[in-house]
Amino acid sequence: MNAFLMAKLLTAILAFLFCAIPSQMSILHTASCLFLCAMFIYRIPGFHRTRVLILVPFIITIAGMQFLSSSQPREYHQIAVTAIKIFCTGSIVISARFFIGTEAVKWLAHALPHTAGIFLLIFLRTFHYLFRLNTMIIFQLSSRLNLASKEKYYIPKYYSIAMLYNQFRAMHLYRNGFLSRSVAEISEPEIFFSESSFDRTLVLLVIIIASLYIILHA
Amino acid sequence: MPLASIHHVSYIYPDGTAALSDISFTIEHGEKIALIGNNGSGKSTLLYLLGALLLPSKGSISLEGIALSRTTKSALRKNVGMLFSQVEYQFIMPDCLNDVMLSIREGTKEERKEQAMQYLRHVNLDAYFNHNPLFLSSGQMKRAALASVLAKKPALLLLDEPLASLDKPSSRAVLDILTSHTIAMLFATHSRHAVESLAQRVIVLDGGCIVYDGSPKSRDAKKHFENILL
Ligand SMILES: Nc1ncnc2c1ncn2[C@@H]1O[C@H](COP(=O)(O)OP(=O)(O)OP(=O)(O)O)[C@@H](O)[C@H]1O
Ligand SMILES: [Mg+2]
Repeated sequence: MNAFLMAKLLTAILAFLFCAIPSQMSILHTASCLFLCAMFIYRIPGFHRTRVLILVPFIITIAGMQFLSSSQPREYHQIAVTAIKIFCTGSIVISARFFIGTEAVKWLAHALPHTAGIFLLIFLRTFHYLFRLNTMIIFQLSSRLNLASKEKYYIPKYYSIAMLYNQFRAMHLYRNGFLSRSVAEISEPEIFFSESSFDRTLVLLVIIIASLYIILHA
Repeated sequence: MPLASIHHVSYIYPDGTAALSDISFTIEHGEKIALIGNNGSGKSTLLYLLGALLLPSKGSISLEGIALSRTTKSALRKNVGMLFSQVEYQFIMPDCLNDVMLSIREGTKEERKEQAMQYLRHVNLDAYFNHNPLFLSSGQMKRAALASVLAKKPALLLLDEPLASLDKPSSRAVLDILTSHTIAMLFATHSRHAVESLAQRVIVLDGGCIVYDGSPKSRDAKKHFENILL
């Protein structure tokens, strides 16, 4: 595998750990986490950046639970730390999809045993299919419901039904599609390398910040 | 010996729907057969059976002398290429080039890549080699799937409505690609143009039974075309 792709993979893991592991966060550490996370979010192209919004309901739920069960002011600090951690790690995971791309997955699928590799590829494919389906369902629901009226509150309901129903209905289609290909083995994939200067900067930044952190704490 | 023979085959879906009853015919090497019939007449079911995705409830199917059964079905699938009417389920890799390469079994990586690029050029998608097939337009997606299916070098090609949702240039492109191959083909279609330009033989299904099997040029055939084709 290309060395830079490997470096990107490790960078994403390192950045994730940097934001996830420490339980007590200093101001400096928090600031560097937020900075890294901003850089990663900046890496997400165009309107895909809205995917970060998925994290908001998570943060509200988890921090909300903690808030309800906490009694002392000291714990409020901990709630903020949790919220920041979820946001940073979550957005790094989301942008890793764009930072590393599907290239690492192809390589992994080849490196893993056959069944696991196929499973990984199908899993990824299902996600791509869901993103496509997501757009279609939203378009179709919007065309049938009057968004200006109360009907718009039905969207989540019909959306979940449509999504689930589509998946069940498609089970035999998935099966047929896969079996008809009769894939004997996943041979070495062709990997498309992309090396932007922004990516190189990001890799360097993560390494510098993480090593500074380790040196300061040693 | 014919390439494939279908002998008194019936198929009943698990919910009790009788989709095909007592079907018999043979497919010769290199023969291009159009399968026509109204919606629900059993065309797709017949293709699934020949693609070894379903096993007949009654009767027998054999391909290149091997009888279809529980034990031989995966071996048979290797020799059949299938283009589904909903092609989005038949992609496996996240980009067109690798998806075609997955179908090519022999050669070094460089050779397989070169071959795969040729197939993509053949369907006029070489500019999209690193695109995710699921995010192509439906006509492009169909051609990408066709490239992967052809790259498998199947003995028999099964196509379920290959021209559905294609515009005129794309239909012509797909028909040209299919004409340029000498593989035996069985294709379900509602397009008169496809039947007239590609088929050497037509099989007409009605309610799960064969009501006509023969030349597309006969007067009987034309009568069926009137009722069924667009
Ligand atoms: N998964 C299934 N379960 C139960 N019945 C089915 C299933 N798929 C198809 N059928 C039934 O089998 C019969 C034949 O269906 P088939 O899909 O083969 O028709 P078709 O000729 O391909 O039609 P179309 O032109 O609409 O594609 C129909 O009566 C249909 O309702
Ligand atoms: Mg059909």
